[in-house]
Formats: sequence, C-alpha cells, structure tokens
Amino acid sequence: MSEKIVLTCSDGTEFVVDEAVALQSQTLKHMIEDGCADNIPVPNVTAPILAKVIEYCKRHVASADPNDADLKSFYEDFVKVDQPTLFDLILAANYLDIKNLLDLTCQTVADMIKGKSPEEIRTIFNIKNDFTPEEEEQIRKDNAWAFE
Amino acid sequence: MAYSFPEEVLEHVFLFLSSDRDRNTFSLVCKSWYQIERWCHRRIFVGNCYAVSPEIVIRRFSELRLVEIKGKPHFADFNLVPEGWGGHIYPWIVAMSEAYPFLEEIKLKRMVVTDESLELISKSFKNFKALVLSSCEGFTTDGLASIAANCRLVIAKMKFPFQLLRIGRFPKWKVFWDVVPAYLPAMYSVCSGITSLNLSYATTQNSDLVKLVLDYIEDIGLEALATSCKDLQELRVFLSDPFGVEANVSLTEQGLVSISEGCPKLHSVLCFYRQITNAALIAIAKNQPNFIIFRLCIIEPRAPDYLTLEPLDTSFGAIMENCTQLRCLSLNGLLTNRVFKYIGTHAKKLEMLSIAFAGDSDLGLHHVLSGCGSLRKLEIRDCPFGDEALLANAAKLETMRSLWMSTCSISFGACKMLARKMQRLNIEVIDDRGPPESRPENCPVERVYIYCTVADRRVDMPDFVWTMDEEDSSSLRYS
Repeated sequence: MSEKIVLTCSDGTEFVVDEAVALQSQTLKHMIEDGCADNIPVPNVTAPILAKVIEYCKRHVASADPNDADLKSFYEDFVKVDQPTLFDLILAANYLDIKNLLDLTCQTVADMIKGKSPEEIRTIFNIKNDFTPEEEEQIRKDNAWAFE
Repeated sequence: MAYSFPEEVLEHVFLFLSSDRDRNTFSLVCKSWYQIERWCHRRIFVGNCYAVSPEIVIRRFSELRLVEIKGKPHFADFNLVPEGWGGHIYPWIVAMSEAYPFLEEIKLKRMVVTDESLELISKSFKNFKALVLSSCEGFTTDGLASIAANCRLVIAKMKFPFQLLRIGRFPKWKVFWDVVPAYLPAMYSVCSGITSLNLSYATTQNSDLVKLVLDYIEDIGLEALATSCKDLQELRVFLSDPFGVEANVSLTEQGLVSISEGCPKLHSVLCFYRQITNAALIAIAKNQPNFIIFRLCIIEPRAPDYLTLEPLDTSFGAIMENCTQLRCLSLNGLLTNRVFKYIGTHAKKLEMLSIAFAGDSDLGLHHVLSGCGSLRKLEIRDCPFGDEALLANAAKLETMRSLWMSTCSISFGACKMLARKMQRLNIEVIDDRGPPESRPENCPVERVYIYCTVADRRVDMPDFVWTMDEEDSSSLRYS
C-alpha cells in the first residue's frame, strides 16, 4: 500500500499524491524524512503550476528511461506552455529541487535565448538595461575581439 | 511583469548555452547577468594572444578551468613569420598561476613555450589535467619532464615536418602523433568507421616506411579509401617530396575526385598537390556541396589547369557556388580577379580565407573585403594588392580577427594612414630591412599584420616589428 502525501499550495488547494511522486522533489523528500508527512505546505507554488509539477513527477515515477520515445515527446509537449507558465515552472522546480524538471525547463529557456540579441532577450524577460552606453560598448568589443 | 530568477537558476540556464556567441550575448543583457557569466565561465578561447591581455581576462573571468590561446598567425606554418616575432606564453602563465589555482587544462597553438613556462605550469596548478601543444616551439624534453609527473595527459602536435621525442622516457604520458600507421591496407579493412584520417609525413629514421606509405596512398590508395571508409569526414594529404622537380608518386587529382565521389560525409579537406584541373575541381564541387573546410595547396605558384593551361577561376567559383556552408578556404594556382568576384558574391559564410600568388589588382582584394560578410581571418601572400583596396575597406578590419599581408604592395604611408583612421587596430609592420622611416613612404612593407585588440600595445616586440601609432603618425617600438 503506498503512502499518500497531501500538498497544500499557495491558495489552500490540496493535492493528494503517492509518496513516490512527492519524493521526486528533494525539498519534499527532506521534509518527509523529517517527519512532517501529513500535510506539506507549498506556499510558493500556485495550484495550476503544482498540478503540472505533479503531472511531471507522476510520469517520472512511471518511467524515467531516457531512451523512451514517449518520454521524449512528453517532455516536448510539457514545455509547450506560455511564457509565464514556463517561468513559474522553473521557479517551482528550483524551489522544490526537482533536478530533471529544472534541467528541462532551463534548457527550454536557453533555447529561447540562443541566437538572440541582448535587446531581444531583455524584451523576453522584461529586463531593464542598466549598462551605460560606454560600458555596453566595452563589453561588446571585449567579447567580439578577444573572446570569440 | 519582470521575472527575477534567482541567481542559481540563471546560472543553470547559462550552463545550457554552448556557443561563445550566446554566452557573450548573455553577458550583455544586464549587470547581474554579466556577473553570472563572469562566475560561470569555465572555458575561454583567445584566438589571438595579442587581442587581449592576461590582466583583462583575469578581471573578467574569475573561475576558469580551461584556457585555449593561439599565438602566431597561421602563415607561420609556412615559415612566413620571422623567428622571434612573438607569441610568448610565459606572461600568461605567470598571471594565471596566481589567478586560477584550480586551472585544469591549457591548450596552446603556435605559441612560444619555454621550459620555464612548463616548469611554472607544473608548480602552479594542483588539479592540472591536460596540456595540448599544437605547433608550439621553444621547449625541450627537460621542460616536458617537469610536468610529466603532474600531468595526466599531454598532447603534442608538432608541426610538419614532425620531430619525434623519445617518448620512452615518459611512461605516464599518452603522446599523440599525427603519424601514418605502418600498414595502410590493414587499416583500411579494419577502420571502416574512421571519421578522421591524417596522412601526414613524419621524419623517421626509416625512410622505407615513408616510401611505403606514400607509394601506397597514391590514387590507388585514395580510391581504396573511397570504397572502404564511407564515414570519412576529414582528409589531409601531404607530399613526401614537395620541393622535388618531378612527381615521385602517382598521386593526381583523380584520387581526390574519387574521394569526393565515395565519401558522402566528407566536409574537411587539406591537400597538397602539384597540379590540378578545372574539371576535377568542378567535379569535386558538385559531389560535395557540404564542404566546410577546403584547403587545396598547389605547390607551384600560379599553376594553371595543367591540361587546358587556363586559370582556375571557374572551378574555384564552382566550389563557391555549390559549397554554401564553406567556412574555410585556401586559394592558389593561376587565379585572376574573377575568382575574387565569385568569392565576394557567393562566400557568405566564409570565415577564413588564405590567398597565395593570386589576383591581378586591388579590385581582387576589394571584392573580398566588401563581399565576404562573415570573414574573420584573411591571410595573403605574394599578391598584387595595394593601398587603395585596404584603405577603402578600413572599417571592415574592425569586424575581423586579423589580416596578414606579406610581399604585397602595401606601402608604409598606407599603414600610417590606416592607423590614423582606425585607432583601435594594432598595425604591425614586420620588416627585416630596418626602420620603415628609413625608406620612402610609398615603399611597400615586407609584411603587415593588422588585428583588433582591447589590450594596450605590445611590449615584447623584437627589433624587426614596428607598431603604427595613431597619435603622431610615426612608428613606435618599445623594447
């Protein structure tokens, strides 16, 4: 009989999962080992994101064979989400310390960055350019002339 | 809404960026990303040791584990860079010994590596794993002995002709040599999966060995290779007797055509040949549209198609048109300005171009500099290219790593003018005839080496190298 763990997300919604699924997260693993097995609060993660994370972990418990073609297409579909969702998944994977999910989502973000210019990346991430024009020019030159 | 990822997440994303370009872009997004890039960078590649200084590298990157540095220009392999020009690794080792105690690997190409440098490496880096020396000089077996105890892997690729060290003294080493296996037929049948074959000539005490290999490799050998090594990606063929008057072996362009027909994965070719035909080159171009590197070195300067006696313009043009992914090309044989027009028009991905004894006038150089958008390294010898094309395309030089021109028609006056116009370039005049000022301004210089740099002027120049100074338009040399 498998143990059940209850996870409570940021808005109070409860998710009941098999212990094996919860153990995919190193953060939850430590808490379970420390004895707070009944009801674990996950306040940093919203319900829809936690649902997706659980979906991921369930799939991983079923089979984590990297040569599994189904698994590959599961991964591909899993990250076909809008940007805010992807970013929330990264933060959740980081907080919950789920290595493969973090790798998958970070790889996806890296693929978004590849081949883009700094300006395009700033737009994607809504980041302000805090370099002075001179600073930026110096780094561009260093990069192009010294390190490429 | 701005997403502020924790640093460890951004580091994690950074680790998935493999190209230098993407990593450099990452550093330009904002200050915090720049800091992450500084910390996360473990490997750097410096294509020209004088484009940057050790101090600048150390200021930028705090946690390096692998450093790869190149020194002398490529034409040094053809003895066109005088002895003592530069490319000393010692100042780098001194600086890195303090800044990177956990350095694991050093890869050097065309640098001067003294025994002193090797000793310092052996003493400074406790986790040191691998040293790669390609075409380096300046060291002896004593220097290598000092790192043998500490270093798990040393790869020494000596330049042609190769020198053999007595590797028996260093049992812990794995020393790789680009030498030819003694028994090619056996190799062909066993190595159908080989992807890289380097048929280089090695000086050994056994001249029979050399003869055996080269007699064997002829056209027959290349045809055998074409039928048995279907996965071959890279091929290099050197000549046993490059300065002999007549061919001593039956190696013709047909062998190369056979390879191009039989090996669909071939993308990199470096071959020395005595003579070639347009027909052969055109056939090769049609068979192999996937070439990335095509370096055909015809020994005789300005050799035409030996059957028709025509220039080789059309066939190199066919290479340009068919091989759209070409990144690296060597051009020689009888070539007019037409070939440069083809290059300027078609070679959009070309990054490295080597030109010898070719062209009619400045227009040739102009086609290359104005047309090749991806060009990074250009080396030219013995071509009638002069001031006009160089000065008209001065801005292009800041988008390239380097330009080398020797025995061309670039005047001292043009070098000074270029220095005034493009103040961020280092313009080195390398001349054995004494200070350039001692001759008229319109006198051509023997060699000029122009490169981008973010470092200050070189302070290690020998007495035959002058740097153009933009301020007072005179030439300077610091001793």
